[in-house]
Amino acid sequence: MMVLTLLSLAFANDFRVVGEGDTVESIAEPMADVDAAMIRALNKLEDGEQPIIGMLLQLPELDEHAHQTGYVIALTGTGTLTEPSAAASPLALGAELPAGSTVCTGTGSFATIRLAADGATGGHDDVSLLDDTCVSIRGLSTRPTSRSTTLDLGQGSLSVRAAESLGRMNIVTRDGITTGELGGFRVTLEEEASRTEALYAPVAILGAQTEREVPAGFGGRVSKGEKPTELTPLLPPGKPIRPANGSPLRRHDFAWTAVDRALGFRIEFSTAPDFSELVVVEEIGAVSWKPDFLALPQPARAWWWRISSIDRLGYVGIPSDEQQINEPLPTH
Amino acid sequence: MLALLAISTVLAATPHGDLHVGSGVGADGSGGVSAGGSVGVRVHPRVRIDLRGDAGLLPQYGAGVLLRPEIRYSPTEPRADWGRFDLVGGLGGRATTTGLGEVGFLGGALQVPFPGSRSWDLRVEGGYLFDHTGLGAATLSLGPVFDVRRRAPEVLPEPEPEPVIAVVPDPPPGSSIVTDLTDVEVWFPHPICRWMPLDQANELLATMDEADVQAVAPGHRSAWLNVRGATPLELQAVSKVGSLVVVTALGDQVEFNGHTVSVNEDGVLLLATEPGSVVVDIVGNGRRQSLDLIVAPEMTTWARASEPQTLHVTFPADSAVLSSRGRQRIREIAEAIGDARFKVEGSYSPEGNEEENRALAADRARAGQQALIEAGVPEERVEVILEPKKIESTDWRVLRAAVITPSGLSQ
Repeated sequence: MMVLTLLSLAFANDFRVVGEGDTVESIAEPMADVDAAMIRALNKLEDGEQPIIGMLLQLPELDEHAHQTGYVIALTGTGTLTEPSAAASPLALGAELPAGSTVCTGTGSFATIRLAADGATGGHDDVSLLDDTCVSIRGLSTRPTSRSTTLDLGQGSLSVRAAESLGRMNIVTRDGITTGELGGFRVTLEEEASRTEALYAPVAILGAQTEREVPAGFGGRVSKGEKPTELTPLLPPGKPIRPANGSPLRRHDFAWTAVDRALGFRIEFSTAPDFSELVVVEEIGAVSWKPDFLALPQPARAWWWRISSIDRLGYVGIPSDEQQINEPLPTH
Repeated sequence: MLALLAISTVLAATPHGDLHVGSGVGADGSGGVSAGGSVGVRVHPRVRIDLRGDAGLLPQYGAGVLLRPEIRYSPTEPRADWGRFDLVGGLGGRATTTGLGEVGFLGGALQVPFPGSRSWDLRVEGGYLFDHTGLGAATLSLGPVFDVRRRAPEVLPEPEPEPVIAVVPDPPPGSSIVTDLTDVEVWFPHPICRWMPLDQANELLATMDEADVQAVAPGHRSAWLNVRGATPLELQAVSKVGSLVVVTALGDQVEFNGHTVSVNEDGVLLLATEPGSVVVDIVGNGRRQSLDLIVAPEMTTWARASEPQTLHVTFPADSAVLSSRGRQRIREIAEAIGDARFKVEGSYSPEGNEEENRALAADRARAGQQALIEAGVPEERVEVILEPKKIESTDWRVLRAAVITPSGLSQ
């Protein structure tokens, strides 16, 4: 029944993940333009019937809630864009992403997409896709009091940037749903489970009609048909040691402090200090990285790098402060 | 006639020996089974002595145990492409329910590299058993052998030379760089290590007798200049420039697409060039390397040369006479000295008289020094240490050696 409901709403725009204690009435109550009967009708619920925990509930939209379109705001390397009823085309910077479209990044390629944006507050929900990642945009919506984005993560890993204003982000995977209102979390599709890391704000993960709150600084997993796992505290990052912050990068030799219980580290490079323009991401099993080769696109200002710890369960922790490195040659 | 097919796995292997266990089944007219293991100690690079133990049931002899010392001799050096061949001989006894069984064994073993791996070998072993009845028996064992020793590195193919693009004009006398470009930045290498605009660079050049500098301008390829005067600077315009940074070692000589280029005195080559494939040849510190690189438009690419390696040339016990192989290895590093220097220090194993041992180590250092000089290295670029340090090691290859260290480690 639930699967049929989801399929029939494949191109709807505003979704709400039903959490513990939610009822049709409590969901409808803060929305001036929606009542419980409209929600029940849209979601094929009987009178008095309540949705189960973890259900993706479609919310009615009035005409003034124009369907939104996402945009590609950063792209390194290559990717593909498949719009509804169209063949895949190469992904390009600035490409429009209507609901129903699918964005995939290639190997060694990264993209950041801007999804629901609120013209009144200037708030927007940005999601960075790591390489070999595919997401489908199920819905984007802006209401007078809220906005929401619903994405299907088909493969790979995404990071939802911390939002400056309230915006609900629902990430649906084969295994369950991760939902948060303030961004600042990652979701990664693994072979057997979906992994969520709440970095800067709390999120909820839902599976098998069970909701689990994940406070900032914790990680959890959900596997298909199973309840979310117990939570794991995320490791702190290593402290960058070299190269010196703000120096020209003449020797590509990076080092950071060891972290107790860390099994490895993730090093990320970006041409923007907020890491919306990722250019290289590597996982390393030591407290230094001295690759034979490194190639970075020449930036407008500088590059930034940061380090995160990886624990024995595979959770990637909160990143370190960003470190600036400059071009060794003047490029004006 | 008895044939045995056995699977053996080495549990641990060191330069001195290994510990392995094996099991097998016999195949002859009536069948037989055995299982066992052995431990070994390497007493020479080519000689290893094993003690092998097996328990089994062989139709000719009944149930019993075998204890047999074996000696393995490698007639040739181990090779990276097909492995090593050992001759194996042993003398021992098998106590069985019917009395004495096997009394001797002679055979060979071949270790071949396992495909796709650096550390697993496949061993095929054949041999011959003698027993008190005068009957012979052939054995064959086949199995994976884990070997922690590293194989010789692969030899990189020599790259094809690329066309010349670097232009270094001859400087006339004067004290500044003259150019019609406005947005030029000039790199002053060690000890200044700074980029500066052309006007500042000219002010600094006016205070210097001579300087090697590099100049870049937006959209132009790098040029190196030895400035002794008013040098007219010609930079070639390139549509989309890429940057290349190569970390080498102090004392390396570097060629970019076949042309010698100056490297900062801390061993870092910086240049702007048009996109495409480039070859950076590095010679120095006893090694020779070619880096095939792609410079992409509007990208910065970093690459690094391999670290200079210390060479250990070994000697027999109580000897300071270099082998022909040792001389050959010294010749190879001497030909790749570049602008570096070498330090030579001898070592000694702890047996015997300390004073004589220290004199032996000094002789080994002198032998290494002499071989370097004979191979063409100027005497003033070889430092010989005649007072050896005591080395805590059990590896005879470290203890009976002349150790040659290049001076130009990059870090």
